[in-house]
Amino acid sequence: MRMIRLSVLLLSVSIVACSQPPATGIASARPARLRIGFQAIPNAELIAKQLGWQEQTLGVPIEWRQFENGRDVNTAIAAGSLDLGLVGSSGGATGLAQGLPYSVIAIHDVIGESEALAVRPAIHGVADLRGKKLAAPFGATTHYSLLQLLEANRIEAKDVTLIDLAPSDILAAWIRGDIDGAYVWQPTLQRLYDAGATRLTSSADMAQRGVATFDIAVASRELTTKYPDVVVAYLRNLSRAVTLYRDDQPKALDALAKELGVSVAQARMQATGLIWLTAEEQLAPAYFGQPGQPGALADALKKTADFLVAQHVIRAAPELATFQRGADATFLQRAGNASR
Amino acid sequence: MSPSRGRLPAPILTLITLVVLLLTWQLIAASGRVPAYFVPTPVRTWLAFTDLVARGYRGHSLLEHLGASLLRVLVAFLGSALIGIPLGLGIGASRRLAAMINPLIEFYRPLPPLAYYTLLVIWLGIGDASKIALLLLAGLPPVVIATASAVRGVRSDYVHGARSLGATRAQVFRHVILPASLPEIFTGLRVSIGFTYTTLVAAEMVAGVNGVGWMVLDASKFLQSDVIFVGIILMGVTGLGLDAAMRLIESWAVPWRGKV
Repeated sequence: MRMIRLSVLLLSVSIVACSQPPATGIASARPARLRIGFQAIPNAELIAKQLGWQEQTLGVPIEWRQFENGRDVNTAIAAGSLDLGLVGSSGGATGLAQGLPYSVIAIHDVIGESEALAVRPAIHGVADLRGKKLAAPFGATTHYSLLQLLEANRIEAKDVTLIDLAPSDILAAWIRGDIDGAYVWQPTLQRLYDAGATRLTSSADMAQRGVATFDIAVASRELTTKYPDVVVAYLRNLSRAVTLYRDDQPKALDALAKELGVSVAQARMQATGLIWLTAEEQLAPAYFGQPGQPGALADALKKTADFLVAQHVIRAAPELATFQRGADATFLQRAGNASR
Repeated sequence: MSPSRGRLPAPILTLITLVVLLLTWQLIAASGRVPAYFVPTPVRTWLAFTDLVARGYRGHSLLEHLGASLLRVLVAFLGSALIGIPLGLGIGASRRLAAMINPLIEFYRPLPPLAYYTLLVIWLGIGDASKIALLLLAGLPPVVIATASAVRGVRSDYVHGARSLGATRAQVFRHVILPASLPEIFTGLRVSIGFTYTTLVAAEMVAGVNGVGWMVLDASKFLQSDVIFVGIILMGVTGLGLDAAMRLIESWAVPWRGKV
């Protein structure tokens, strides 16, 4: 057994030694492997993954691990089992507030129509929500958006029944008639519409009212301190995928559809509900800002954490400075410069 | 010299274990090497507990959470007993019934409850019915199997003795088989309530609005380790309480345990 293992090891070492370094490879230190936690959300990550770009350019073996929610990503990074991950802005705000050893390094997407509150047709306005049963996956961005919507319309927690349901269970509960509405994302959202639900409000509407939500990329402190070049190269691939989506949409959507296991038409529909940004665009004051001049993302994260404290969801939120440090634009800036 | 010189009585030993555990916990948590989301200090956990007592969790008081969970467990447990004991008696007494029912129970017994939970939710909805059904299904097999085995294990000379003295089948059942089986049935019931209780968190995973299991799951979404600790300790203590209650009922209902 030991002999076999040794020979496998020698073989793999020799393969690595013989293979050519990738064209846009990384000169400095590389980790033994990169563990990326992804979610089935239509964004640049999945395009770069399907096209094998990260494997080609990072020069390290990549372990792709699928997650269903930001909570598990947070837990995995806390446990040191993950280097990069995708979380929603509320999951990220929670993580930073609880002192998880990670930085927010990029915005995967700004959430728009892809997350919405779908309700029974008899519900015409937010005021009609009183006394109703509403579902959302607790801790997710939609839960946050729903709480914000209720608060903005002065509907108290006791006036509605909020139920914690995973997206797959939301559909079943809707069909059975157990719930009157759900704030949820694609593809469940479309299935709710197909099953007769109407759209009461969306995260695009919420963003216009100042309640912006994002899907963000977080990187463990170990990765950002030891292997910053890997982080930059990873972000460069994401930015490249955003550009591909704009320049050659059929190819990008084809990759996306394959990764999501849906038709190209469905992939297009899902992707249009999210706003994708290149590395340069994310450096705008509306998002990351420049290093030294923190943008609105840190404010949004702080606002999210404060709101969760006010809702007794988490106990305390740190100062704005913590979120400004936590949203680290340096990697994006380097990725943006390098791609020019 | 007393033979127990230098030996400590059992309660003191238990106390020592607890104190050592608490001290180790405090040392690890206060060392500053592990972040609070890994291990909250005992003090912080206590504060979380008092906070939960004072303010509740997500709009329900701690007692409501505990009560909701206990109600689900007890209703499911009573259901398992009401279905499981007659079924087990039947299976133990009749080979034909055993041949009909046993395969079903043997098939679903080892299934992880989460595997079929979604089906229960689709069939019964997201309310308490699906949760109780899941708990009931988890608690049923130990009762059925223990009862059936108890009936089969009744010493045949007891039965023959009663029959030769002129007892009817019903009398044999009522006065021989049932009392002789009760100790093992109670063992089955204790195992059953344990199974039911260990499935609680899974049952409260879908569509939770209350319950200690749901509280722990919800707290984990926000890395509230202190609440998780409180929830786990509460569930542990409650579990011990349930088992103690079962033993009490057993000693009252089956005083002849170990004497037949």
